[in-house]
Amino acid sequence: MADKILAKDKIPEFLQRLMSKFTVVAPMERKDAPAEFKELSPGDKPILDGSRMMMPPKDYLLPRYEVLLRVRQTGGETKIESMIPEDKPRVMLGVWLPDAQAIQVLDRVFLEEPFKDPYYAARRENTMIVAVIPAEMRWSWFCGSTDDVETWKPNVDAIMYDLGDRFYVEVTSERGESIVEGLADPTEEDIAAKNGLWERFKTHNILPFADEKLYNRLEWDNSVWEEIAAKCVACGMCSYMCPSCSCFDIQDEVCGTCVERYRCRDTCQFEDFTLMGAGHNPRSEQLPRSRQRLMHKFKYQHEQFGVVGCTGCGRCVELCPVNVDIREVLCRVCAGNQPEPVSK
Amino acid sequence: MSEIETRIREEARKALESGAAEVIVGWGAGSVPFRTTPVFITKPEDVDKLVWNPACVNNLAVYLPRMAKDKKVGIVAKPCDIRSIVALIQENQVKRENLFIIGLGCGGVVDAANLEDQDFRLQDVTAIEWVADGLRVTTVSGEHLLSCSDCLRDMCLLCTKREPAIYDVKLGEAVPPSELRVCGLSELPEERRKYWSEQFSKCIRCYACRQVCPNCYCEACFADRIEPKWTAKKATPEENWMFHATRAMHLAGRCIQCGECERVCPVGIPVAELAREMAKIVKEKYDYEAGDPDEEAPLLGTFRESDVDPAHRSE
Repeated sequence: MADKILAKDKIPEFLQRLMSKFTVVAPMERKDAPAEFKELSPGDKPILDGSRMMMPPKDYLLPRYEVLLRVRQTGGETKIESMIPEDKPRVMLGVWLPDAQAIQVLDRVFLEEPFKDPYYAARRENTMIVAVIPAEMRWSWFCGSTDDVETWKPNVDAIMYDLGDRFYVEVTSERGESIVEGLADPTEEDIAAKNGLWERFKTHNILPFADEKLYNRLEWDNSVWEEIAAKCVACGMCSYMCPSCSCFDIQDEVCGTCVERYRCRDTCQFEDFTLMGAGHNPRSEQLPRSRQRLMHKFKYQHEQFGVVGCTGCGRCVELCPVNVDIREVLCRVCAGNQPEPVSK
Repeated sequence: MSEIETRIREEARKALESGAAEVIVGWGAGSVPFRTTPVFITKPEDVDKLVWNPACVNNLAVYLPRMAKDKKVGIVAKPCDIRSIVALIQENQVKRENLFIIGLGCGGVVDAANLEDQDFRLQDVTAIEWVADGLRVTTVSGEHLLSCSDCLRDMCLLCTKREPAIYDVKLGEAVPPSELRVCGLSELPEERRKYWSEQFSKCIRCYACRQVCPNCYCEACFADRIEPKWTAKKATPEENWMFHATRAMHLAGRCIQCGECERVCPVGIPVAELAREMAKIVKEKYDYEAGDPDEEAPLLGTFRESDVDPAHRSE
């Protein structure tokens, strides 16, 4: 698989060529808000360099609101209309590499038999993922601390390294070849620059828990859960913005002349998430809810799927209203619960 | 370490030792230099965990309804946080006698996002502190000075109430605003509708605005009710309208404008702008300001003969 160079001034032609073969999905700027993945129209100028905070790509693959089916009654006859999205060849561009790896977690949840989700599958299975490594690492990233990032490369179809005036496009799958058709070959200098950027990504924010098998260290009765729970205000931001959190709710609603069954986001951080019909709530306090999210990511998902549920994208680190810094929590867990500052 | 910080720790220690408070809620050092995190101090030997710096943004009054029902709680509070406390006392959510308030004179606090707007790489920032003429940002490359108008939270740039309204101990002096920002929405209803439609369509319904709000203490929020279902959980523009408009109405005459809702919104909805509009109407029509200790009761819990009939548009 041959790597290529994409000069930034050649991006419009590159996009045009891709759009003739694929539906291209990439982050589009929004006013006063993180960029959001959208299907591109001709002339769109997506943010391909990963330089800005963006909504997670799951918002495209697993929409925040998705109608699953509609039920209609006409003349005594009941009709059920399934709303499975169109399965068409797609390319997602400008996906932060940790977000691309987070899609692996979603794939385990939604594509594995026997519970394959036809809605997710229709959007995902025919979609190539082109990851990006931005020129500047974000302060909140800690990807190399959660996993061996070398193992992430084969899970995407290509990686675009931002080298300033050009992208180095590393092709990491057979089908990824079709993305780089017609692009120039890299020089020795390009390869060296790409390797330098990869090294910076790989070694960025390596924290004390990096070599730990976190799934062996996380304990159900660690006192750190109590501390998080005391300050957590129980909003759902950490999960809603998380690229790998996939929990959803399904609701039925009467809409005019039909009943709509839809799927929308839900989170283990909400009190009613585990509320049973008869009134019992096994996680009625914040402590088990705070514990659940981290145990799920770092322990249960590893046990269940063999992948780590957190890829270190840092959104929750940046956005948590009360500065529950997941990195600090993990440092504490691995240091036998001694307070240990995360900043270098 | 600032002198105020030392005195906060002294007062906290005294309060814990004397029994004036069983626990002190305050700000502790954050995981990074431009953040702080809420801490709950129960032992006098732990008071050194308390900090006072430009990153003390959180309105800690959010913890009071669940904490101060049946125990004595000490709280370190900025003037806006104290207005929240006043509102909570007036609404019978906490008892004044259960509180020990360490009130701070304030000059505003810093939004870390503003540092990024000023082209700082947050990765490089090692310290932020107030100096005589602004904010000193120390980075790996040296020291830089920022003016208050470049770094303060938007809400702080609009704030004129920088003295604590009630307190048991008052520390520090208010710093008068150097430049008061005014903001205004278009007066045209159709333009306002368009503006808010765009803003609300971004909402992902994470409810962070509601959860950080000290005055959103309902045990069951209307947005979570299934019967009756006031608004669906799905994040569609229509349902988001319903959520935000209803929340704004529920907070009319109650919101003290600390701006927490706006600070925490992950998608940049100017939630506090809506609250400001409501406060303006409340002031104009009823001459009432939420969080004012001179008011005896909440606006919606009182009737005065002079009150405007809300169903009757006077214009």
